[in-house]
Amino acid sequence: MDRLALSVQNLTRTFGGLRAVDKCHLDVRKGVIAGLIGPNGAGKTTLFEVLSGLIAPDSGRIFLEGWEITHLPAHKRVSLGLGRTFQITRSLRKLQVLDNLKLAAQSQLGEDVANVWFRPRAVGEQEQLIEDKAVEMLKFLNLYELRYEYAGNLSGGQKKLLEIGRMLMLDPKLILMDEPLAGVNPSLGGEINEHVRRLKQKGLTILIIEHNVKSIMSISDVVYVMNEGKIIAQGAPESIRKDEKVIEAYLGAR
Amino acid sequence: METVLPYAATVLILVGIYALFALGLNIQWGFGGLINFGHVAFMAIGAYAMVILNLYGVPLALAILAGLAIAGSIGALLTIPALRLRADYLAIVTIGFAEILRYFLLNEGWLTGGAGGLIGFSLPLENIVPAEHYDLFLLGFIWGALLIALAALQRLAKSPWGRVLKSIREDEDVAKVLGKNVSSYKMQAFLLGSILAGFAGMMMAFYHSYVNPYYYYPIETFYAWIIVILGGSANNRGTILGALVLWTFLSGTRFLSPLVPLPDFTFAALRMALVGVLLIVLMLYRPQGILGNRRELTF
Repeated sequence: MDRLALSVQNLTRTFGGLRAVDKCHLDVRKGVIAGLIGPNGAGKTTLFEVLSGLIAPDSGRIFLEGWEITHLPAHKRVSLGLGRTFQITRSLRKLQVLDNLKLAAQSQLGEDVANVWFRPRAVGEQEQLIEDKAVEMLKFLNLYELRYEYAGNLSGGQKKLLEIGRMLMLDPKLILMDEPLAGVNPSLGGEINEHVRRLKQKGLTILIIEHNVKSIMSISDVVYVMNEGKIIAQGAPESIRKDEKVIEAYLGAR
Repeated sequence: METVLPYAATVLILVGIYALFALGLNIQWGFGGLINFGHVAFMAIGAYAMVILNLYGVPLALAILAGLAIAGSIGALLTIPALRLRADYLAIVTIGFAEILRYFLLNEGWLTGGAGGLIGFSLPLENIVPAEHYDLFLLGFIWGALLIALAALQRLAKSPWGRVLKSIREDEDVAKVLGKNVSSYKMQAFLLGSILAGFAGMMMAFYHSYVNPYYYYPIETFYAWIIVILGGSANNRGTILGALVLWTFLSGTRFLSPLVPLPDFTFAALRMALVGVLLIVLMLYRPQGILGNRRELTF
């Protein structure tokens, strides 16, 4: 159990008569890049919503590094090390790029009204550290020149990078990425994959939903295939490619 | 208390009171994006709590502090049923609450004096300040409080706390997955905003030396909305400016009444209609308000 970054047991979530996630089981080992593929409507994004705490499950359990998080609110999951990005980028358009990142830093003294009023120096010092970290992140993502731009003015690809940077500001242990390559040009896609590999080297666990099969197969250590709310196959990319059920449900005959 | 005081002082007292009141709404709506259509309720709670406690023998300073605490905590508690609701429903809950409260004040005469209201409570420093200068003293007191509130809110606006509120205004789910306890921030915004409304209500009570349920019609809430939108949402200085513009307009046009061949009632309605026209024109040409930041406009 303690070798698992994420363990999902018997998880179910229905919307009316639709079983979006249906008695789903999923174990992700620590320190791997795991791909999650499957046809549209398979329940992948719903699974992410339930994992990150934005949607409550009907039944089942979720463990993050051995800790049960099934009933924890979203913000507490973040403090245990869960980070995520969205399928359609959700940058805070009305905040500057730098503020988008600074917002994400955890345990900020200045998020407490009493500290803001009565300990301005401590708040200011921490704010400077957070800003240094955010600036470093922006340089890493090649967004430094845009730091005072409102996030709404960024291009689609820049928003993807911003969202990844914002998530990394959380210092997460497990990250959930929902189609990081969707709508991204090939060279930026390569750049994003390079960032993902570097995160793995730092010891993070990464679970990625992706429809770009070639990309996800090349980057993943293990691939999970979801269909009709269930994981129907899992294994190394080569074995998944040959799996009959997967070919039928998703990859299609070549 | 038959004092002749400069008309400007009266207007500035009203500006100060409504600026404090609207600053409370600006925390909730301007920064947090929370739609509070029942802001006037907290003005009433602050005023009535202070007056009733004082009439039961609680010293004024304590009654004021208790009134602020009561207004603030009821504001915070009101967010609990509203937490599960999206924006528009919060608006319905709050306006409903304010109307229920107004009827409570009107009907529970044993506590609130009913339609007759309450009179005879202490005023701050009334034994020291000469009665003929009392309104000037109140003016200084209100504007002193306003400046302190402005300084405190400006510091919050520029702080990480203000940043979290702005993120909730734009996308609650993003704030959540960035580890922010969204419910707690909404509650804090209502707590602070309701304390300010409660304080404004007390100042109004001191100014009239009287409270009654007819001070707390929903229009008071919408004065605060007009002020915040006029001055520029999420801009505290703009809110004070908005209060100045609105009350200068409403008071100034009152002078024109003898010149206009209309009954007083019709003219009063016409003045409010003009405020509406002013707002429409503002939305067309300067939707961010006088001092607001267009690039942060969220509606």
